[in-house]
Amino acid sequence: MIRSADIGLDAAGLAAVSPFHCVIDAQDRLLQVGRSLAKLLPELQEATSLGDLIHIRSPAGPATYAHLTGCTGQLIILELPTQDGLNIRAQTIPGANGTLILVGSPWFTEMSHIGACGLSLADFARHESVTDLLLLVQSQSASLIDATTLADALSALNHQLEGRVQQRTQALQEKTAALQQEMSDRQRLEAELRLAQKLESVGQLAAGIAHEINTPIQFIGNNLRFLGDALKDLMTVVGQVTPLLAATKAAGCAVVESTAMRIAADKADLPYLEGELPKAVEQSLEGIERVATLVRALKEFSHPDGGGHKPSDLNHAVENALIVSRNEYRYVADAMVHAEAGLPPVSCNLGEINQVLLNLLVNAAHAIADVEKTKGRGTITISTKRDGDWVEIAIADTGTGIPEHARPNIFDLFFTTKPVGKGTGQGLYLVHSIVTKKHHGTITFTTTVGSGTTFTVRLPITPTPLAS
Amino acid sequence: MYGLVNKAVQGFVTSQFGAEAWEAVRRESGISEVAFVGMNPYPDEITYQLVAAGSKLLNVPAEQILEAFGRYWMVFTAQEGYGPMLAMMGDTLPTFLRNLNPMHERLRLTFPKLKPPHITVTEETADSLRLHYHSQRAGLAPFVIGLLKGLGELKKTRLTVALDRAKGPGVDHDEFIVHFGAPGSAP
Repeated sequence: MIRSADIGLDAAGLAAVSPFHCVIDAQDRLLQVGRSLAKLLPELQEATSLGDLIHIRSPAGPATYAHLTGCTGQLIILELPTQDGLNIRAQTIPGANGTLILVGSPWFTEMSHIGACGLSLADFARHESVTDLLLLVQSQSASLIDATTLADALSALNHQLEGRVQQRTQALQEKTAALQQEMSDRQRLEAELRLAQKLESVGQLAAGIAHEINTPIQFIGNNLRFLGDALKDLMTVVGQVTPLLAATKAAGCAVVESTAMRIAADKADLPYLEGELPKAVEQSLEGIERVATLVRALKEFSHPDGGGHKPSDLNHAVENALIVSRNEYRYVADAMVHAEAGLPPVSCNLGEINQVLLNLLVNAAHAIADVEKTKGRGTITISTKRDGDWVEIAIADTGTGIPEHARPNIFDLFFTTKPVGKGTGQGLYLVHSIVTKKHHGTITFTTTVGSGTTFTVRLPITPTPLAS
Repeated sequence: MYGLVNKAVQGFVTSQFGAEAWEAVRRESGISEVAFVGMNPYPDEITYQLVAAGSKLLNVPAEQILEAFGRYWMVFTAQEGYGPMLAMMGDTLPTFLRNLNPMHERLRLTFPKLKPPHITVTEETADSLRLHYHSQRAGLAPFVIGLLKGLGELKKTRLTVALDRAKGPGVDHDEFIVHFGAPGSAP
């Protein structure tokens, strides 16, 4: 084995092993400065004492032989008087002839600082790990930047994804809403179609029946009027029979014939017949006239001339609707009409408006019927009037009134407060639809539970889309 | 290869053709990575796929892309903070090339999974040398040519490079003839 004393390390060897070394003696004289330390702090080459330029930060004290000797075996940190207070990590080793060698290397945390201090990696000892550590630090810093970039990219992707999910969700919700709306529209249209077909069938049937009834009613009426006229003549003739019988009796002629005639006349109760027969004919004529009126109203109501919007007399429509619906209200209510004279014709689909009036009248009758037993006979009041460019029809009843909970829904399809089998929930929906959508009008109601309800329909005299 | 190489490919495409082009290349390559971590090793296939996709989309032969990428590599590594290490490797081109193997060995301390090429220099004269490039990877000769040209630019040295012997049957490495001028002979 080679003993340590045999190992000689000259200044060049020391400089190669530790380019940042320096050597001082017991008199604090600076004997040697490594080339890299001199590059870092050129003033050292001219300095006589290390302590003139360098401060020992740890263990704190002056850069003197005495203090440094006391630091033997410890990590010494030198602080250089450079702009950024560069530190050198060092340790002391005893040199020849009582000298003290300070070996170490500067501590950098960034590769770029090496160049900033005027050094290159070549200024470090080849075995020096600081350069590789810096490379590692550099790589790890780059990795941190990479990680940050990745995190940002991930965050951006996440954000995009969230945005996309939100967009898709919204689109899905919109599609669902559109689908629901479409289903609702289709359901409504199907209901309207079914109702329209039903009404059309009923209308055609009613018109057909009215037509069939009309002809016999005409000849029955004609015959009754003929019978009335003939009866008058016949009664005049019969009136002459009584004096004739008295004359034959007084003359004593044709006794048998006149007696038989008197017996027959007594049996027939001629005075009674004379009083009642004209009344019977008259009442029959009245009845047939009422039937004729009903048939005519039914015909007009169920099969108005053509379709589409035409100027129509709404007062006349009210009269017809009352006639047609009479059977619904006659037993529970009286109808009163306050029709404004000179009401202008309203451009409307009369068949549809008839339907509106009929539904409102039937509803009014039903509302009154529900309280008729407790309140007695009610009243349906129909009034019409002009209000600027609008015509207003109000149908008021003295019925039950609409309960508060039902008010928001009364125009909804299939909503009804009537018992099963009596209401379908289509009447007021249809009324609303006809008035607002097809005629651009309005329908409102005021109601008091226990007192009654008034529906007010307002129709533009000349409907335009803006009128609604 | 380490992510640093793929990052360089990304930087090369982005700096030359724009960010959209890089995104298109990335998609075309079929890789799932959206970004690379420099110190992470990735399969070599990713780099090859990126080069192939770039070649297809940019309508440039893969060899030209590799050569341009080799030139860019020197710029990129300096940007990434390895400039001082490159500077330490020598002031002249021959010195630098001779120091490549020691530099790779130092790098292996930091990047333990690095599989660096082995580079030797023979037939060195005042203005030329023969560079032997031994690599486990195939098809990187154009990259080496670009890298040498980039090195010439870095050292401001005029040079020409030619592939003298290509790796193939019976030949286990590529050999390049490099002619160069004095330092500072190029702008």
